Amino acid sequence: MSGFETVIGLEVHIELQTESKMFCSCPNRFGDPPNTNICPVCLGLPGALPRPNRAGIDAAIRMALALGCTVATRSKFDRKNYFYPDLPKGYQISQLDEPIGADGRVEVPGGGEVRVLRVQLEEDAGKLQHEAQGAVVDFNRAGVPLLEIVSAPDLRSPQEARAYWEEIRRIALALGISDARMEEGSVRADANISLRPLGSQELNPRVEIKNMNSFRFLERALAYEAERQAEVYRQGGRIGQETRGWDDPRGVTFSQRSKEEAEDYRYFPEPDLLPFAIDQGHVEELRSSLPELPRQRRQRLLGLGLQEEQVRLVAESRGRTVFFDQATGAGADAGEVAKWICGDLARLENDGRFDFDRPAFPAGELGELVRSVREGDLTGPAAKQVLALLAERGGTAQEAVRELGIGRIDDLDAVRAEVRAVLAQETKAVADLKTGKQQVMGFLVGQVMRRTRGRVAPDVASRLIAEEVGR
Amino acid sequence: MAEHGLVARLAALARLELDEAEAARLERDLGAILEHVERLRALPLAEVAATYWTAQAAQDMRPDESRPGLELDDALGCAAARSGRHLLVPGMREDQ
Amino acid sequence: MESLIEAAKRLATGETDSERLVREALDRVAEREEELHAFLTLLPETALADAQASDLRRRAGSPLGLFDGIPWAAKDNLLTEGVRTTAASRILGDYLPPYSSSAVLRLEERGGVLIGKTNLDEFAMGSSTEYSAFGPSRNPVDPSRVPGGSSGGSAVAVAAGMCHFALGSETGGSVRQPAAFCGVVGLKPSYGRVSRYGLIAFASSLDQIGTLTRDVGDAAAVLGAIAGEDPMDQTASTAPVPDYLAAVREGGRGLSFGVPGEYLAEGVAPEVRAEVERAAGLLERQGLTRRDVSLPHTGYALDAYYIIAPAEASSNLSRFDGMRYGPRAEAQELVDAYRRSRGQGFGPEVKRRILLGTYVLSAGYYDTYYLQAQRLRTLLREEFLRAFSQVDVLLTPTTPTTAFRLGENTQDPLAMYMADALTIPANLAGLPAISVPGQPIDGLPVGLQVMAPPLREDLMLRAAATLEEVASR
Repeated sequence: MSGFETVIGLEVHIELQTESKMFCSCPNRFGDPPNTNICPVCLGLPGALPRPNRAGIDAAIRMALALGCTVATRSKFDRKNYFYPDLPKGYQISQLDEPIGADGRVEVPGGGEVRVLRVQLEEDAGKLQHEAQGAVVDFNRAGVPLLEIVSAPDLRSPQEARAYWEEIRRIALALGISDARMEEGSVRADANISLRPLGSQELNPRVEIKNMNSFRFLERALAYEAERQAEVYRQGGRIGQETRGWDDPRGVTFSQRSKEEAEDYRYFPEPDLLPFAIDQGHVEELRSSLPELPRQRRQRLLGLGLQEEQVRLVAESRGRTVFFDQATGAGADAGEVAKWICGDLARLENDGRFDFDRPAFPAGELGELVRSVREGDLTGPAAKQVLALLAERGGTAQEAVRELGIGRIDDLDAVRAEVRAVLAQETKAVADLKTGKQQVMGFLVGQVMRRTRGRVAPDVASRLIAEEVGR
Repeated sequence: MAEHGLVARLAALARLELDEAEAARLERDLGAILEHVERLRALPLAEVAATYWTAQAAQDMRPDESRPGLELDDALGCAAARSGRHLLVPGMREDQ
Repeated sequence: MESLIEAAKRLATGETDSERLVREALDRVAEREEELHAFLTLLPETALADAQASDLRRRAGSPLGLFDGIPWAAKDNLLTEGVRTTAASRILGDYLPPYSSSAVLRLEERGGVLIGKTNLDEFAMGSSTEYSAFGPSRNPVDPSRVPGGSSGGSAVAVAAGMCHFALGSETGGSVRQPAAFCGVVGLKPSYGRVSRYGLIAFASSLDQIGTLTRDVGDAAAVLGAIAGEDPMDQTASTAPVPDYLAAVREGGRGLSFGVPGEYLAEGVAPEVRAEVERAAGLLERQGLTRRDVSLPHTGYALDAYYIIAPAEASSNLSRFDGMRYGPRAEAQELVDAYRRSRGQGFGPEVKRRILLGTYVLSAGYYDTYYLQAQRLRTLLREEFLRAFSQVDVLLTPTTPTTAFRLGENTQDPLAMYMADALTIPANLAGLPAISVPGQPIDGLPVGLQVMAPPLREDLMLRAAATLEEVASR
């Protein structure tokens, strides 16, 4: 790849999570039985007319703002004409030359700044699946509002392209405009990739890879394609503009449309929808009520003293960040809270036993837990047990402690009694300790922990063990 | 006036199958119509804004509320082929 | 046949009842339908049932108003729930719409009795009804001649007394021109005055539902019933609907009008020009003031129309592909299914317009054709608005000639297009316009057209009322 610069542009499509579809009042829901949410408008029946959804427009404005775009004072819809069974009208209502947002930029975590050329609002097509006897079409998705975010070809590597796409998705989640579920196809991307000699400013013909819905596949596809193109150029060949698909099992891109002519979409302004003014006062209202965006969030967490990896993990989702903020809200230590979130809770989430978006217990209880451990009311190991119970059943930390009976044993005599019981049993270890094998201490402390179910602080246990053994 | 093969190209874009006689006649008709509208092309209108809409007093955007749609048989009752709740359509070649 | 307002009066006094009206209408259909072919679908059973329900309401003392019990007909590009709607095309097969158009619903909820769906040029593309896939309609005054189009069937039904009023649709004059040819009143509202929801779209920025009636008063009444905002059509105006009947009663005295010379240019038959001049003189004698006006770009309107309308139509008709409705041609592969279903389903004029529209929108041609035509449209509209700062309304002929014979223009599309030359400008500019019968020429009806500024149907109706009064003397 040396000598070449990779030039990538990304078009990200995000399905908006509105109540109703973009141009009709059909429910916008995933997972319903096929052809349940359809009406004359989204089915393209004769005589039907579109009616634009206010929430779609507001979502587009908010996304445009979050991406640093200029929001148009006037916008309109256009028709993009082509034939496909999942496109009922034979045209898609989209935006061509007056999109809602333009001229924005995104700072890619771990990458550079990428220009966002446009944020446009359009409708999604239905879902077509190939089968033995032909193809079957479900129109539930037809007419769902879609945001299309087009970047300039500023991305310089498959990794950066992936990171950019991930950041766009994070922003959409932070805004709450989409559930952004990749596996449901709520977020898709088309990538354009070409190579050029280092230092050149010209753009070579590009290859389009369409309809990706996996970050991993995108990165792999672009990496493969970059190498493929480099090889072609090295052999003295030329790259023609085309569309290619990604075959992940085989790890190759393959030609999808070797057409002499590109499809002519015959765009023209949508006559059924009047151009609309976007009130700048309304835009300012939306701007001032934007939630914390991922970049702002990351900066804030760093400022609170979190490590970079912790920042990445906590900022990953709005659920986690909200949980973190609520847990630290009453003054609990940010670093400690972050540790719990990135450690035990993340593990529980992975096992499907905890959901940051719908937590089984109030985040404040985690704060309470952290405080308890800090002030020595609860040992670390005990706190872990409390957390597990809270995640399972909810309630408060205090209740869990009471139920588990694992409040710290303060009574030193009681602790001493437990220590003596352990030492009485572990005679060999005691003997080893007496001969100076300090590493045995850890084992003995562990035994005290087990016997007391974590109700003794490890340092207290080792101090008492030493005292008893020393006697 | 119409280029040779124009009708074939347009018919492909518009997904219209035409027999030879039809295609020939349409080629002639299109030529005649395009010749007639030539005079419009010659007008110097570059400074004039386009009027795409003549409607007045447009409505507000629709509030984001959902309503139940059509029953399946009302919606796709006249469809040529169904498969369960799906619409069934012919398959496509690889390059379509 | 009497007007709908007269019939309503007789219903109110009990002099007649709806069942009788409907039977009389159906009798007239039986008498002349075979010859004239106004209808594609007749609904005698449901019409009688509706009539009986209307009579019950009236006897119970709760009639729904002016339209309750009045027989009417709808052009077959207006959707009627559960009733076959074809747009006079084979491509829809026996399509049963799952919903009715807003205009149809508004008449239905006022108790109007729909007796059938009328014939039209396929997808409303034509000026004679000869492009219907199911055979032409004929002019009741002279059945060897066309009734005009595309709303030919509706004009025939009203002119032949088969119903008291009918709805048609306009894109380039398709209500006014057949009204002129058949000797009835045809009204096109301002663009956006009547909801297009449920009207099978031809050219979205031009389409409007219009009325075919015996007289101007009826036109005002029907317009009042169907006009007004509709949440289902974003382009439908939210402006309040005035009392159109009051405008008719007020009449045109005191109004000013112009007769733009461009509408009397060569191409317009001398007798038609003479009739317009005669009418102008009569209006002056009724207390209207005539002023000079000019609309210099009128001659380009036809060209602009035959770019804009086919362009929008080519897109609107893409949905007719045999997939979700309509017959599907035999084919193993998708592209063939599309091409064959559409190739077999559409008639020659529709294909002509789809191809023309595809051309003028295609890459490289958009600017020279479509954009250019929309710019011309701006000039036309500006010219009209300038003229309307000088006069209240415009008086012109509706069509260049009287009704031509069947077959006379079908071999020459351009000649057919000429029939709309004088009606098209109002569609392009979005103005309201009405055709009122003048003195027949050689026994054939001729139409006098009144145009008014956007959303000033009141001015148009005032002038038209007076015109109607004097023109047929």
